[in-house]
Amino acid sequence: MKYALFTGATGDLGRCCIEEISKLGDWTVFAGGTNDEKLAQLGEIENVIPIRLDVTSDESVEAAYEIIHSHTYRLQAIVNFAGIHVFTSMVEGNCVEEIDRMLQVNVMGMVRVNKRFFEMVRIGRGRIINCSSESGWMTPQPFNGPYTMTKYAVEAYNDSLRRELMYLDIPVIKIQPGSFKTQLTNKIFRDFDKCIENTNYYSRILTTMKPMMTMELGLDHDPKKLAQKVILALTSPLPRTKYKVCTGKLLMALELLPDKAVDLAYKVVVHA
Amino acid sequence: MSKSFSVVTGGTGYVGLALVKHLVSKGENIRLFLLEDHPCLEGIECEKFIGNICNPEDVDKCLEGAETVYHIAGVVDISGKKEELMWKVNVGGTRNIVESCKRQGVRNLIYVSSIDTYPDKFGTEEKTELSHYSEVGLTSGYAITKAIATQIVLDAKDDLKVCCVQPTGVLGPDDYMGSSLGAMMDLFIKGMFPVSMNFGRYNFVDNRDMAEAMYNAVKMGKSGECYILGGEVITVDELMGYMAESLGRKKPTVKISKGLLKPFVPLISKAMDLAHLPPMLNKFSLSKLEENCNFSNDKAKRELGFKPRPAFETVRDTVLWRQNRLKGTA
Repeated sequence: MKYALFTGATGDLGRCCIEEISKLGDWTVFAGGTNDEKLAQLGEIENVIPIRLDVTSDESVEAAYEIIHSHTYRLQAIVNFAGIHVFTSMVEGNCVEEIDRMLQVNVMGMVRVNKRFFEMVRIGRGRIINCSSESGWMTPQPFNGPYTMTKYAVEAYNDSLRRELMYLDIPVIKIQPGSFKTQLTNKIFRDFDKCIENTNYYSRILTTMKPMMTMELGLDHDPKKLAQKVILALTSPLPRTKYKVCTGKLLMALELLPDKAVDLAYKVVVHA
Repeated sequence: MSKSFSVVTGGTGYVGLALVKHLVSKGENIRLFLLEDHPCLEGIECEKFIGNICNPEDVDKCLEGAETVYHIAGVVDISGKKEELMWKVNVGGTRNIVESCKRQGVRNLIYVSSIDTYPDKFGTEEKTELSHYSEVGLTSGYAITKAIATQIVLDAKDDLKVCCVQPTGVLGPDDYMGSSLGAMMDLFIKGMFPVSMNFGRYNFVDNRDMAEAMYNAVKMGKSGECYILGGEVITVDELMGYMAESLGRKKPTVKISKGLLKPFVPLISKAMDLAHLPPMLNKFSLSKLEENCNFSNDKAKRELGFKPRPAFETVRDTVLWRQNRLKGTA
């Protein structure tokens, strides 16, 4: 039996991936998350051991380590899926606190978990899979700055970690998913509306941008496509360094343009 | 068995058989926990229990009523092909033994750990026993599994008397299972190893001296302690010289340098593999010859009455035993 630690397991995408991994039959997944109700539901899946895990807390990570260590000395994989999203201005509202919290979950959580469980992966001849995002490599969008910052940090962290751990023969792989319709999407819409209500400057601009956002986030990609890539990253004898899944076509088109042109496009769109 | 008796696991191995012979010479009653019987045990007065240490029920049955357990059975592999087996036997099997000792009320457990469990491979400083063993800093599957197993044993120190002995490179007679170094010696005896090396050194211990120290550990050892059983450090060239002298031959005059040997190591390793010989020369064994093998045996001398004999004596007895075995008389 192989063992994997999966953080962010109580999210919709996390649960979908875990269900698919469980079907492989030869993996036991330690599913880490903070939502007790959803953790209990995960416990009903075969070969899944739910564990309360708050990646922002050293104590919580240590407690999870003790539980996992009582089951096994070795991990064949860590899958870092824990992440949050906040849609906010970079100058209005509680942006400093919001960015700080998001960095704690999306970046430092990953660093904390990988550091604590590194020895278990090393002796398990395992691999580390970090969930980035298309926001980790695409041109940043306005009002999505904090999330983009964290995912750029994840990209830099992942690539540096990969080039460090290659000396120890531990593959480090990043997943770069596009938009999937999950509860996270609904939260983005709620944040967006909150932003419109509380802004002194961007009310009209944000209202104009909303249909575009709706179109991009509303794309109903099947989360199983993401699960398939995660399984590939988990089981491939020669994994790639990164797996892109369901990249947004409209946003990708912007990558072809120079910075000034992208700026102009965003400006023109809201004045249309 | 109505009298008190000791259980020995791995009793047909290089260390195990020497211990079994020592225990018999001391008039001890012994029960051997064997995966299968072996002709090398012929004529040795002992009870044999056929079972697998990976099976907790077998372990419970075998250990029932035992006063002392010498746990030697383990898988040694430097080829990287038996990693899963090493986890199963070295870690899982040792855990089964420890748990069963607790259940069965065994009073003493002597475990053969390894000096591979020491993470500091470089430098020249004298290495002494550690207080805690873990996988941190270790790379080979053997070292990792032995370190974890060692700590499993030490953690049981409050439930029964546990001592770990940590031999350096084991030499001596009675190598029926085929060690890597033994295979190399056989080639030398047959005249198929006409060269020496101008690099590399290692610390060797005689399996008979080890056996005595392990026997003494039951009475003299302190629970929860490790004891390094190391002997003399000799260079590869000295080892070849001792072997030649034991056989009444001239020492090889051609010495290979590391730079010359290194490029051919993968090829030699593959050839050994194809010839079904133990992996006596590969990247791992080559690096071992350059590791810091300056291990202190002071604690074992002081507390276990460990008396390592001179390396020449060990090499001579080893070579002569191997020569007789090759002739079919051992």
